[in-house]
Amino acid sequence: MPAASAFYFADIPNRAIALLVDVILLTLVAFVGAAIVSLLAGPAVEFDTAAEGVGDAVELNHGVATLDACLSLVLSAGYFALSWVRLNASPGQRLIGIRVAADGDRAGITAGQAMARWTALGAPFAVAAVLATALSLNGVAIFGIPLATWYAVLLITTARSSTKQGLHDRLAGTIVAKRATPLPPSAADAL
Amino acid sequence: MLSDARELPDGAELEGDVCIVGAGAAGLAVARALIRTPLRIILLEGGGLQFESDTQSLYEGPVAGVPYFPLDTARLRFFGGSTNHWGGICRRFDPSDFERRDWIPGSGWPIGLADVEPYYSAARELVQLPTDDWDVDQWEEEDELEAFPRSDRMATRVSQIVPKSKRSFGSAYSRELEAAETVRCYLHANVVEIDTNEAASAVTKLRVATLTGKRMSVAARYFVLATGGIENPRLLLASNRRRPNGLGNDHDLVGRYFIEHPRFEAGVLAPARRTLQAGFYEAHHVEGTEIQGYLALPFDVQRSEQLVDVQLLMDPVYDPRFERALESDDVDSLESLVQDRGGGSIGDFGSNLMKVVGDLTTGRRFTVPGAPLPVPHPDVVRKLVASPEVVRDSIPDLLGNIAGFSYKRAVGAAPLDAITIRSRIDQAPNRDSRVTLVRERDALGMPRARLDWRLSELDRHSAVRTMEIIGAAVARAGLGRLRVMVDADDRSWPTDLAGGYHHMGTTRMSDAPETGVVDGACRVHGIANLFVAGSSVFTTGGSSTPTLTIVALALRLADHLKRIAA
Repeated sequence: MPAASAFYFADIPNRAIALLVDVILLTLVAFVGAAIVSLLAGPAVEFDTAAEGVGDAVELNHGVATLDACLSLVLSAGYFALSWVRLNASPGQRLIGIRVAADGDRAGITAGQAMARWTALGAPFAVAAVLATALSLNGVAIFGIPLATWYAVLLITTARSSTKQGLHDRLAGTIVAKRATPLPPSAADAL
Repeated sequence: MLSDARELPDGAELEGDVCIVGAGAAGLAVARALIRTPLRIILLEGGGLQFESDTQSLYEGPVAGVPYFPLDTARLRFFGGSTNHWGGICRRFDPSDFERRDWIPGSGWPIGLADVEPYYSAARELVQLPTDDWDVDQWEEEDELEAFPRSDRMATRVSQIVPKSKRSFGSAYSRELEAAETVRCYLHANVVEIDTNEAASAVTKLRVATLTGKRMSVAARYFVLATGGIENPRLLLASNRRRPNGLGNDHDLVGRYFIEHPRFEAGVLAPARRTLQAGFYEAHHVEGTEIQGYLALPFDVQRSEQLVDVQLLMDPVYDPRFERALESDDVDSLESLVQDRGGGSIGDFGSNLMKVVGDLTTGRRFTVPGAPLPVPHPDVVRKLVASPEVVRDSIPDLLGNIAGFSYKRAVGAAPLDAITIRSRIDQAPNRDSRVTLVRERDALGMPRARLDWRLSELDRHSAVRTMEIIGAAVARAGLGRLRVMVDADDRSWPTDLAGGYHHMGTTRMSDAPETGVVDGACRVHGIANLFVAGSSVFTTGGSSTPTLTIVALALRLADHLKRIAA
């Protein structure tokens, strides 16, 4: 087991911090994307100062907002899939020192694996946002509980897995590893 | 047992020990109190378990005098009665509410607070209020908000408010009554006449009709009328087989002395500073209980000025930017979630949660769609930079009650523009204010009721003078300047004058049959076994809402019935 002693399976706190960093970065990217969409397609949010009722003072242009949501989806997919394939880690993961690898040979993952992993991890939220915006749905009420349940499943399966492979990792055939000081022999054997 | 009178055979003759007419607050309170006795109870309700328009139309009738609500919308005729649209505001009567006040003709109950006091706690439990605490100082200690400083010229009172989901007695107690072996409750059973013996000294039976055309009768040892302040006199007046003027009406008092809680916008308080805290006088939660404060004159001042009691309801008007976000229903949803901590009903929890979720959704509308964190949309940011006042004005719209709640928490009170003040008057008894019968008959053949509500100069003078005294006290305390909007010299009433859906006094309580319809035990003078429950027995109405006292008096009557029936 040549490289095993240099890595261990990344635990949830490390991965949560990495995800938080990615979420912040992705939010900034989406913000910039929305600004560009507004420049090209017109404002998504307009203010009506003469309006009286609650919620009436601000109007949403659903067409432009849907473009924003679609762009956010594309940016999310691109952000994660590209960084996992090209850099073996998302920016947040790099910052924490963890990387995504193939389950079998611990080498870099393929584009197909990256897309599968994003489909399980990032797509549910992004697709729900597109649907809610495009169809003017009450997104929190309709998708809130299913999304929360799905992400809880991912969290629980990750926590309960000895290799810290959540359902998304198993579907994509990936692991998340963190560089570490050498592990004790018994833990190293487990790798 | 609950059953439908329409399914009984035509001509059925029912028999029990106590027959209660009306399943509203008073009738249900009496029935519940008698459940665990050997007495066989018959409870007659004119309506069903839900609103039905043909039954409700039995309440239609003309209105004269002071403009009033249509009589068929001012009360409800189905199981639970008017508690089905009740506002839930409760406060006990003060000792002075029962006392004879020399300057108010017709005031003075034959009983005092001491007679009703033992029943207030049970009444409070029955209306499902969490605490027996009515003391302003105690509430103020527990409250984050402060009442105005008290003085010998200005008092603060506190009402508790029953949660909306618990207000309907029908919903709260139908199962219990259905399960009770000694109670037979008949729905769609409308009492159309009270039969007595030849001398009209005792009731022998009630004549009952259904809208499907069936007729039946109910015999009992004791009868309790609990159909409200308009129907109780209507039924007594319409029962004129033995007495041409109706039962209990030998002295022409049945239906007279109709009193209400007249209210109108009486003034505006311009606060001395915009940070003045007036939230204590709005409906708000303290330790899970919703309360509301009122201003009033101490009784000594009422006496020295010779006024009826006037309670002042305050409606703070906040900066328009926050007014919308602070609409109590909206802010309450988040406040309730935070404060109840699971203590409320599942229905309330779900409703409040959905409102908050709705707000979250509203907020999401103004963030970048699809962005994982709720970052403001670039268009919002651009507008904020270009014209900050536009976005600032829209904050309540952006986040609804979350913004309002956060703001209230952070600042304690929103910037106050003014406080509009509405008066609620303890109307002086007035013989000319009355319920009578008209020739027109309803679908059951009963003469319809006509309401002629009259007010007196004492009522009007009391409202104006109370405002003047409170205005001076407010100014002395440095709270602001109160502008009285009713001209002291103008004899007319403001155009927004209305009642509070409180129908009282029409079978008033008095020791002597010459001055009242029922005695101190709520028994109709001269009729051995006929009792009245509800606010029609009120001699004076107090300025507090009547429901808690209605229930307390009903429980007292139930105790009396237990004693005499034993």
